[in-house]
Amino acid sequence: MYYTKKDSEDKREVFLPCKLTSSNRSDFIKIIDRFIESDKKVLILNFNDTEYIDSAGLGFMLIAYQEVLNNDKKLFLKNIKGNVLKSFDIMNFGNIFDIIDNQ
Amino acid sequence: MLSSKKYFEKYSDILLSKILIIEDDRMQRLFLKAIFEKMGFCHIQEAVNGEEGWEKTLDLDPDLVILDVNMPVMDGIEYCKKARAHKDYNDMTILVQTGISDYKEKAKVFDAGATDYVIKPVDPNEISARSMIHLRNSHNLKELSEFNERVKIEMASAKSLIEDSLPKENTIKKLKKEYNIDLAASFESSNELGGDFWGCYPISDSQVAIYTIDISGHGLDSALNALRIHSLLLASERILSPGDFLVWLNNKLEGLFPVGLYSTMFFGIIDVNKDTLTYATSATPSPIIFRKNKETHEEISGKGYPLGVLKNATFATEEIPFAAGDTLILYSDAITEALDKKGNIFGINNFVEIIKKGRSKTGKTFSSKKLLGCVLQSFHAECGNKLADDLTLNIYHRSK
Repeated sequence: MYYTKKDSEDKREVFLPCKLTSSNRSDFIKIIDRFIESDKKVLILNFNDTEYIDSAGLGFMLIAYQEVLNNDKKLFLKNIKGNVLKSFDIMNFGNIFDIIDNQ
Repeated sequence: MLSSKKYFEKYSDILLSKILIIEDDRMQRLFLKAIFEKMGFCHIQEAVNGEEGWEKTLDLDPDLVILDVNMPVMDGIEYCKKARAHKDYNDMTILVQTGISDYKEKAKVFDAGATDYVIKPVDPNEISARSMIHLRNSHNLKELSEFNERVKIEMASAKSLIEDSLPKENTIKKLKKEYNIDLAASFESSNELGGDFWGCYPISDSQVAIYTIDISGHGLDSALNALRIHSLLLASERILSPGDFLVWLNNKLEGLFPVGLYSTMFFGIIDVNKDTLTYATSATPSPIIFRKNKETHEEISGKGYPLGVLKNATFATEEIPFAAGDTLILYSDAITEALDKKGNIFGINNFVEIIKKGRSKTGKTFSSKKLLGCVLQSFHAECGNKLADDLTLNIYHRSK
């Protein structure tokens, strides 16, 4: 799974790929694990480039949420738009996650 | 490579491999046999040329063949080609020992199907090391292949369990006869086993409960959890409202699902006396309604918390008219998220269009089965037959 990340102070921002599907599971888990192991306190998942997310991909967000919660860190979801935003809306994710800078 | 206790312990499985040495020179054969015996191998056979080697291959099913190139009767190249042409030996490890140093001749050896080669005079350490690497790799591949076969069998079994749990023809006939609900349903499993499920059951003389379920992701996990929900549904008491039912189900599932897994669900009750559809949704694709004698359609919001994620999540019960002549379409996201021939997401708009075309084809006497057939035919014409996810499509038509 191609992605980029940007670290600053206590934050890590991960720019997710165009598609987030079940085939990206192991890579996504690694991203979360690496963040948990790091000294960063805040993880921002940036969906600016993400055009499609399947049910498994939505499940990854729940995994991220649980892991971050268990380790007293924070998670934000950023720049969600288009079909991804529709999927998030149907799932009431706005009531579960901290979502910022929506387009 | 010297033998040692740790070596034997580590490679005990590999050392049970069957070795076949095909070499016309007797001294060379004995030399090679001694190398493999010293490594700890005990199943070693010899052949003096390619032809004898082939007969012994059919008999022994070797894991590793040490093959000379220049031999009478049948040389190594011919043996190689023969082995690779046979369905049982096209991935057998063939280690060629050759005195040829010319690169074109080496290429011939590989073209014939050799896995690897060593140059004569053979160095015992080199042939030992190369043999072990190839045997370990083929051992790992064989274990993986056997594991894959077991998984396939288990997946097929789980798929069968799910399909057996879906409503049978007599339930559909009962709906038609006793409730004047014309139901047509299709369930197509994807290659990757999914967690789709649907059902319907009478709950009173005038009411029928209907539902569709989709567990996130694919595979055995999703399928087994779909069956888990099915068991809960069978064991459930009759809940008065769909919203209360989803609350109950969510509380049962929360903590049971592994993190990251969730279910989406539509649960509704058709009341043929009151002409209503009462329902609650949990993050489901928007159900579609066509009213009697109307071309336009309605999309019901499928918004709601996914099941099994949030403790004490609430689900609202909604009620809409659903009278004689109206048609309700429930479907899984395998339809709306499918890719068409151009690689674009099919989407709900295209889905509605093919439903409308199907409705126009059904004629004056509506048939859910006919509409289902038209819709599926059009869908597969656009998106092909290979499904990324299980496909569920239910058409409920109030015929009277």
